[in-house]
Formats: sequence, structure tokens, C-alpha cells
Amino acid sequence: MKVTTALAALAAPAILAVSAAPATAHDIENETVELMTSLDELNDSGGSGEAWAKVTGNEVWIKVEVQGLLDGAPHAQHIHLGGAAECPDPSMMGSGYEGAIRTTDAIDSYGEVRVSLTGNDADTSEAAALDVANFPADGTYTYERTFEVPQDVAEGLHHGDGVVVVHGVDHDGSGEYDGEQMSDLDDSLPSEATDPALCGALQEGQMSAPGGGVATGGGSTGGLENTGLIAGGALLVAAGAGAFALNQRRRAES
Amino acid sequence: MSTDQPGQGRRGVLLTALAVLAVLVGVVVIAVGVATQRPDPPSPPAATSAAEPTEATGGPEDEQPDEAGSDDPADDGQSATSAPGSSAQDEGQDGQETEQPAEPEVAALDPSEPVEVRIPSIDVVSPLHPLGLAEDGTLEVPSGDRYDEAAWYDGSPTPGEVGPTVIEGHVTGAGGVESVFFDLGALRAGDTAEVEREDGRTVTFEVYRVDQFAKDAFPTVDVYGPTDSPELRLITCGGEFDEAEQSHEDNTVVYARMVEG
Ligand SMILES: [Cu+2]
Repeated sequence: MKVTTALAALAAPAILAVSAAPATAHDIENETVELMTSLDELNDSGGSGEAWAKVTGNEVWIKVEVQGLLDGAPHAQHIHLGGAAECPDPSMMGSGYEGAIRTTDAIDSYGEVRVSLTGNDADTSEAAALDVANFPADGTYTYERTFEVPQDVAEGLHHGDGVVVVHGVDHDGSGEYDGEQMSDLDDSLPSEATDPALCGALQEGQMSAPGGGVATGGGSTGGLENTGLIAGGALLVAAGAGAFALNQRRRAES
Repeated sequence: MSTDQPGQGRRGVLLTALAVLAVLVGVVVIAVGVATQRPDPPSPPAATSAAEPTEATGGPEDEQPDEAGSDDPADDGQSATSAPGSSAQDEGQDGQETEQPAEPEVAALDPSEPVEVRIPSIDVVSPLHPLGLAEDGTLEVPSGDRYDEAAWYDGSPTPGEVGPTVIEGHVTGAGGVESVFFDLGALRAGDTAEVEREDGRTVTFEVYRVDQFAKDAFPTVDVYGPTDSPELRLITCGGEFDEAEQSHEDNTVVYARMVEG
């Protein structure tokens, strides 16, 4: 523990200052915090999902599962920090299409982008917030990645302040990101491309959650438990009949 | 093909006999397989998940008067089963925060490990043993002598603590014999499950949602995610089934909420 702290400090002098503060940096180094949230729709996006993360020191593992967003269009997804660590009221009046909530409208709630949940080993910092080429581009997807975050981000996550936001809403139902209004984050993109679609405030879990439903699940739902027996029997019948036929032919020929 | 070997005839007869035998055995095996085929365990109807925890039938509102009142010797949940001893009842009522009629939730309890689960509507009574996570992060499942007993995930809250208490059990065993949670999918909103704790208290949970999930669509956060009050998750878990068993792909998960403890 001492060693890792020392190494981390050596590797990144900036951390030294933080390490000096006893509680925070000290504690998160060895501690894994498990975070979860369901993702609820904003802007009537029609989507849903969940996010599950484990943070140990500066290492973040996160899995995001999303359903029902606009298909074939990139969905920028981030962990926001620095706001009230919550999602805005979905009915809040925003500055977007017919009162839609735009990303900056709710910045007091979820804060700024601090982690970009990109794929393809792309940058995960806020600098990649609109790296559209490396975000999921399906309406339904599962995203999973492990990466490192800066110390202050790690601390924010450990404190349960992170908010997962998935962006991209087709307000007018045209099937793509378009419309008059340009994005409040990048004026070369339609606002639809960056308006928030799903939001969930990461909450500390009450247990170390078992992995997926796979082993817990083994869902032995009975039903065809005799499949093997029946198949084996069928195989025997087929083999026997085949051998019989072959043998008869052989005898006939000889 | 017409090599003129001596003994060809006799070997032919033998082979024919073997072939016929194989067919006969095969037919018998199929017959046994079909005859002993077991019925599917029950499934929840397609959409049972609508009920909100607070709106489940006979919810906390119904129970609250009992709870807030003085030492009620027995409530429906208890008397319906053979609760061992009445000490659970006595202790169950002297909790520190029972006098909160305005609060729609029951007060959470201090930790105490679960020892038995009872689900009257499907005639389940099972002792509980603790299980943890396997190396790969998945939940261990009951095995050996305790294969047919339900188990408590010891990383989850104890029953009555805030959070989801996780209890798992097999649907079937080797050969498709019914195991402890075979009928889990038959539970419906409003049914109850009782969990007895080491300290003698019994916590009653009321079902508000029953779902079936494909293993690859398991809603981790719904099932294991944090909750504001004491809840219970009853989960079917896999046995040692052949990879070839293509039909065993669903998990039944029952969501329940503490109504009495
Ligand atoms: Cu964002």
C-alpha cells in the first residue's frame, strides 16, 4: 500500500499534493467501490439502460447497457462530475427543440464531462467528449471497458458523485440527427446529436454484485432435460439400422 | 467387397444381431427418455413487472397498523407457517423504530444472517447456507449435500437490512428432478416470502415483481443494485447441466419488499 502510493506519486508528481491529504487519496488506493445506476430517459428518448462500475484507485471498470435509442447514430456517453451528482427532472423546460433539455441546460445537476466512454482504446478524457467515431452507434448496445482516470475524477467517483449521461435524441423522429438548432457543445453538430437521452446518477452498491446472470443464472429451467437420452437413443437406432443395412448388403454381395 | 474369407457368414450373422440389438436398445432409451420427461417449471406471465413496490397489493399500508400497534402475537404470515417458537415474535416487536405510522416503510433491522426461507404459496421451506463469489466473479451455487437447499449470497445484506438480500436456489437437479426453486416462476405480486434470521426474528417480504431473463440479458442493476429499504431477491440458479442443454437459458428473478419484521 505504501509502495503503491509512493510509485503513483513518483509517476505523477501532481498526485503528491493530493496524497498529502490523509483521508481521500490514501483510502481509495486500496478500496474498490462498486457503483450502479439505472439509466432513465430524458427528452422522451424512448431509451432505457443501466450502468455498473467498479473503481479501484484510479482504475475504472464500467459496463453500460442501453436499449431503445436512435439506431445507426453515434451516442456520446460520458461520466459527468462536479454538479449536484444527480439527473435533471425529465420534465424540466430546456432551451432545445420544443423545450428539450440540452446538455448545458442541466449542467448544474450532473456537472461537466470528465470521462468519455469511448471504445477502440480511444482517449477517455473530457477532450474526447465528442469523439463521435469512437462512441457506440447503435440504438441498443452493451459497452464495457477498463481504463484509468485522473486522481480527482477517481475521488469523485469514489464519493458517489459521478453521473452517467448518454447523448443523442431524434426529437423530430426523422431517423437521424438533424434540425435547425446546432449543438450547445459543438456548433458543427445538430443539437439532436448531443442532447441528453439517458441519465443515471451512480450510487454506491450495497454488495459486490455477482457477475452477470451467467453462473447465477444457469437457469436450469427443466423442460428438455432428457434431450441427451433421447438423442442418444436415436443415435443408437440410426447406427444399428445403418450397420444392419450395410451388413445385409455385404452378405448379399459375398 | 467380395473377399472370400472363411467365417464371413458367421461374422455377418453376429453383426446383424448386434445391429438389431442396437436398434432395440435405442428404442428403449428413447422410450425411457420420453416417458420420464418432466414438465417445464412455471413461468411468470409476459408482463408481471408493472407493479411498483409501493403499490403491490396489501402493501406496507396494510401492515403498518399491526406494526405500529402493541405486541401483536401473530400475524397472517407467521401463523400460516410452522414458525419455530414464538420468541421471534416477541423480539420482532421491540425494534427501536416501530412507532412511525406516517412512514410507509418498515424499519430496517440490524444485521443477522438468514437461516431459513419459507415461501408458503409454493410450499417451499428450506434451510439457508451462505455462499460467496467464485473466482470468476459469478455467484457460487448450492452443491453436494446442499444441492437442493436454497442459499444466501453472503455478500448481500442480511434480511431486514437496507438493500437487496439475495437468495438463490436450483430449479432442477441432475436428470431434471425438481429442486427447491422449481416453482419460483409461479409466484405473483402479493405473495409473501419469509426469512428467518439467526437472532430468531422473521422478516416477511411481499413480492412486487416476477421476471424471467435470458442469461445474456440479466439486469444486474435491477437485481443487485442499491435499494432504499430492505428488499429480497429470489433467484434461480444453474446446476451442472450439459452444454448441450440449449433450453436452460432463463433466470427467474422474484423481487420482494420487506413488509414486516
Ligand atoms: Cu455527457
